[in-house]
Amino acid sequence: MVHAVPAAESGRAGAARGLPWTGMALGAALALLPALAGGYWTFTLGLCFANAIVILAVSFVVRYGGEVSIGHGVFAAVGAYTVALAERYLGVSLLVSLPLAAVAGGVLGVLFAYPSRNLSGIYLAVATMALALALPEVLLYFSGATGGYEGLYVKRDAIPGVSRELQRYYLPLAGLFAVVLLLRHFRRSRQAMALLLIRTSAPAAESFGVRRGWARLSCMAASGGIAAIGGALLAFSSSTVSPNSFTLWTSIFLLVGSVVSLYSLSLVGSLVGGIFLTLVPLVLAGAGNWVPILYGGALMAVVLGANALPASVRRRLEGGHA
Amino acid sequence: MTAALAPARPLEVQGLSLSFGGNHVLQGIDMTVMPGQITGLIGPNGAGKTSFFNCLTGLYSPQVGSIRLGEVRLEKVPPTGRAALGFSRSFQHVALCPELSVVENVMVGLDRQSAAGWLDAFLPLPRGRRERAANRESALAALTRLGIAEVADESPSQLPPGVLRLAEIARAIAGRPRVLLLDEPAAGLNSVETRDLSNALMKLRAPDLALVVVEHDMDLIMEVCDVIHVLNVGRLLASGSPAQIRSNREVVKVYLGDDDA
Amino acid sequence: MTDLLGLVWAGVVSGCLYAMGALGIVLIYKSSMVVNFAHGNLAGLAAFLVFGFTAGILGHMAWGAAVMLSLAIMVGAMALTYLLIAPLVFKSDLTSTIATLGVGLIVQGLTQMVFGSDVVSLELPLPSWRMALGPLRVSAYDLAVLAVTALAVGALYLLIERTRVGVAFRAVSANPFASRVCGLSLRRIHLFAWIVAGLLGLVASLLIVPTTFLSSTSVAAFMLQAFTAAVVGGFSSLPGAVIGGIFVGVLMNLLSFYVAAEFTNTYMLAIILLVLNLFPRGVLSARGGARV
Repeated sequence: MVHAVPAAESGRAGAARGLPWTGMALGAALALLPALAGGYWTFTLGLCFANAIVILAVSFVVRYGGEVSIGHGVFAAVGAYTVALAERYLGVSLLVSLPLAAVAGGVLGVLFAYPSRNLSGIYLAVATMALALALPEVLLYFSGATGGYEGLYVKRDAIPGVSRELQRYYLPLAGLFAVVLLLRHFRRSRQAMALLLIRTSAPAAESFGVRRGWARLSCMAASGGIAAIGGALLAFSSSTVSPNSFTLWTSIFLLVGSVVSLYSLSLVGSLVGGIFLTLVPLVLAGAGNWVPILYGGALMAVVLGANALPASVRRRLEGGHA
Repeated sequence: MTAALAPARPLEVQGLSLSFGGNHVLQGIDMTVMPGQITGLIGPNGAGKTSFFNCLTGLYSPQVGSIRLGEVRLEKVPPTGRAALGFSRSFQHVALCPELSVVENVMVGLDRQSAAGWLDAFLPLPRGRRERAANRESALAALTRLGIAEVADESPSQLPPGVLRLAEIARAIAGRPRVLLLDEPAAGLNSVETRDLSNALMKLRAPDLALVVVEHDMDLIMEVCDVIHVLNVGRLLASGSPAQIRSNREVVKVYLGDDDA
Repeated sequence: MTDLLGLVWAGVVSGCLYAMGALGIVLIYKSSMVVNFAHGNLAGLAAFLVFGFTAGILGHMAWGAAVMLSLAIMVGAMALTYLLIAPLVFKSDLTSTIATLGVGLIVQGLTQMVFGSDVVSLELPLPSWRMALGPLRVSAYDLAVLAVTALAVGALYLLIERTRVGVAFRAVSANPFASRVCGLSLRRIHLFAWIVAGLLGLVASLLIVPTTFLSSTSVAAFMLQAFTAAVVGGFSSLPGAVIGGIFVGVLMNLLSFYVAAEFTNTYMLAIILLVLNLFPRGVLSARGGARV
């Protein structure tokens, strides 16, 4: 059997073949960073890594589902609260509650995806907006368990013997590495190929047995699970969860991060989004009102700028239906 | 033609009628598509070819009549269900995903028969890797059969329409379907590409495959098909071998018009 | 029974306001196929401007002058928003919608910068009497809302059905390509729709203030109800927006009273999902499909 010799790595089609050198170099640098940087940076970057994971979840929905979500803060919240509640009621640390959080996120993804499976485009976007606005109401209603406005603390160490500061840095970093690698591998899977095809042509995919309902549910379940992992790590890194951290604005900012990263599923891209999301409020701490202005401006700059690019580059970046 | 091979079943259409509102698009169509043959479906514009094709693929459900694959009745089965029964089709407008390479696009044709679960999707487990490698082999085999194995790792967005059409057909046959429906495969192809297509189609003849080609290109149909059915204004006008159809007066009249005053 | 009637009445009143917000959203969507996620923020800014002009922050004007000035600024703001996202409008609906989110964020920031994040009270120049009409308790506010809504809907109806620009709007909504072929300027119609939508939004947000007070987030929150109303009525239907608004208003009140009052947004989510599952394009949809 003669095999076709793989063509030179085409950046656009097919699962990437070679090694991601930039990502690996960046990863190595980040792994060594605490040796050089102080506590402020390790804390901030820990949050940044966790945000980057949630942004990956948003980008996942755009890339594989062709949809835009302004409600992903909810899935992150589910992950965060799972960790906090597991600590409060079961006494377990992040190592046990993280997988629970992922499952919870996946389940919520399916629960939301099922009634909204036939919605798309703007209707789905409005539904995700409603989801994001409904979350604080639910959290506040069950204040007894969720701690109401004040929320809950996450105090348990995950790795005994290692300083809290280092845990808050390395666990989210490890999480980010893991998610990026999982997504890289996912791209080669038959599920990924089915999802990408059904975005191009639903009739074609259906003629090969791929159902729209399955595609939507799978996409949201996977995305919800990833976002929940990010949320869980956010809770661990910041040591608190409260409804304030998961408002509609949070979800919109997550979308901004995703757009700024050009919906990238790579380490570099997600970090660009994560850094943008985490550092901007800190840098502008004194002038908080500039934050939404800067986010809004960045969003528009990226969207309008991408629009000015040639069609072939744009097709790769944008996540719309063909 | 022996009908000895058990899995090969004919596709039978009986008394099929389809109407939209008061518009009778198809009336009383009877047709049997035998495996091991290439069956052509032709007719002038508006004859109902596309509608009939959509009934076969499950997009439309006829009001009257039956479609059977062997014993199984198909009228109420949706496209995804028919895929499970061994139906496969190509599309008039190339439906390949530009983000997937050609071989990956063809591998989607094997999705129905693949067992790798979500764990295999995210983690590099041995079972998933084995299945993926096997699927890639099958996909490459299909591409080779269509004569375009060399473009396996390229992006569809950079390939000419003739190659894309062949890739689509490769995708349709990768899963060893029982029924293959091709919707105007020569549309948009130049004469060289049509020749390649013609050669490729003739090589697809197999005892366990019922192949239906809907086409406008008469030369292609005459060359490739064993049996031709002619539709006109929703009814079956004539059926027979290419020679019979070519000499059938009614068919000639329908296509060329009535020259005699 | 009096409870029920009173709830329905109050629901109709607030429903009128959701209807006006929804009308604005639908006007924009019908003409330019964009969902203006900045609508709430823009309308809120407009209300704040009126507040600013009357309460001393930006001036000490009389109500009439303040409203006129704010209207003028609103026209400018809506036109500017449209022009900012104009390059995207013909290319992709989803991207233009994301761009409106960007505008919304900027407007939110601006509002907070100029007016702070505190809740302010904006008194409408309405008499404060109430009277009993059979089993109902009707206030001047209720009547004002109904009257203004009727006026606005009536004026919009006349505008759309009887004027040349209204005909052009209907043509563009039904078939933009054909309209262009016939020589209509799509950009001008879009601007028209956006500006009218902005004016409706301003009126709605001013009228909602007595019930929710004015803060940088309150009007945006009210917009979810308007979006739900638009979704229920079908994003492409103007009459649907009105019916959707009243439906949402009444249902909201009933649910808040008979089930639980804390779940406003959750009800909206449930309504959206329920209605769209039963009526995939809204109850009164005109044309469906999304061009992305």
